[in-house]
Amino acid sequence: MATTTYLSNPTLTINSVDLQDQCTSATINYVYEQLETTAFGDTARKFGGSAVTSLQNNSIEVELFQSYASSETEQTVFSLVGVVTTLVLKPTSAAVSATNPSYTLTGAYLESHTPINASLGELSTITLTFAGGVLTKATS
Amino acid sequence: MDYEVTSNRLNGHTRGDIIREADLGDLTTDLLFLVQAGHLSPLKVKKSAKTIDIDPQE
Repeated sequence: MATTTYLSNPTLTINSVDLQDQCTSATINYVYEQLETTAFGDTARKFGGSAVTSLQNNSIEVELFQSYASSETEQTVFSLVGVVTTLVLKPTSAAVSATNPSYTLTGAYLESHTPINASLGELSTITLTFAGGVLTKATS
Repeated sequence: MDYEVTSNRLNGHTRGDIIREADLGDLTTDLLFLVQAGHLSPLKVKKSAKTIDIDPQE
């Protein structure tokens, strides 16, 4: 039987600050850049290989409710623009395990932030993209 | 330097905890950001009051 995952309780920390209850969306993009290794004699294009290590090009995109209250979203995020930081995401708040892995993006750069992104009658949200850094997965 | 946790959002800690930078592991970019954001407050070392020696009266 196929299994599906309904993420209702993932955890998110940015610079050690728990923003789970402000987060509505999170996407981890785990990428190794594609390097072509096709050579004479090949009949089809090839990419990568056991002796070829390309660069990671990871990113994490999160959507958060904006809040200007003390210790909330704005105060936590504003200082991180233009610097690198560390993010940790888990599918659930339970202990880290093989079925609840923890993903840590270390050295991710936050290029931009929209301190005000609001419309009349709607909750204000912000979308942050943290780019670069090394992604590691822990299962214990 | 010691810091007092001043919010309930600091991962693994609760408001009122006294922690050091090492307690946050390597997941924190810069403690200054956490201080600016109101999650931490540096604890100042209090100087002890000067003592006055009083010569015993003869």
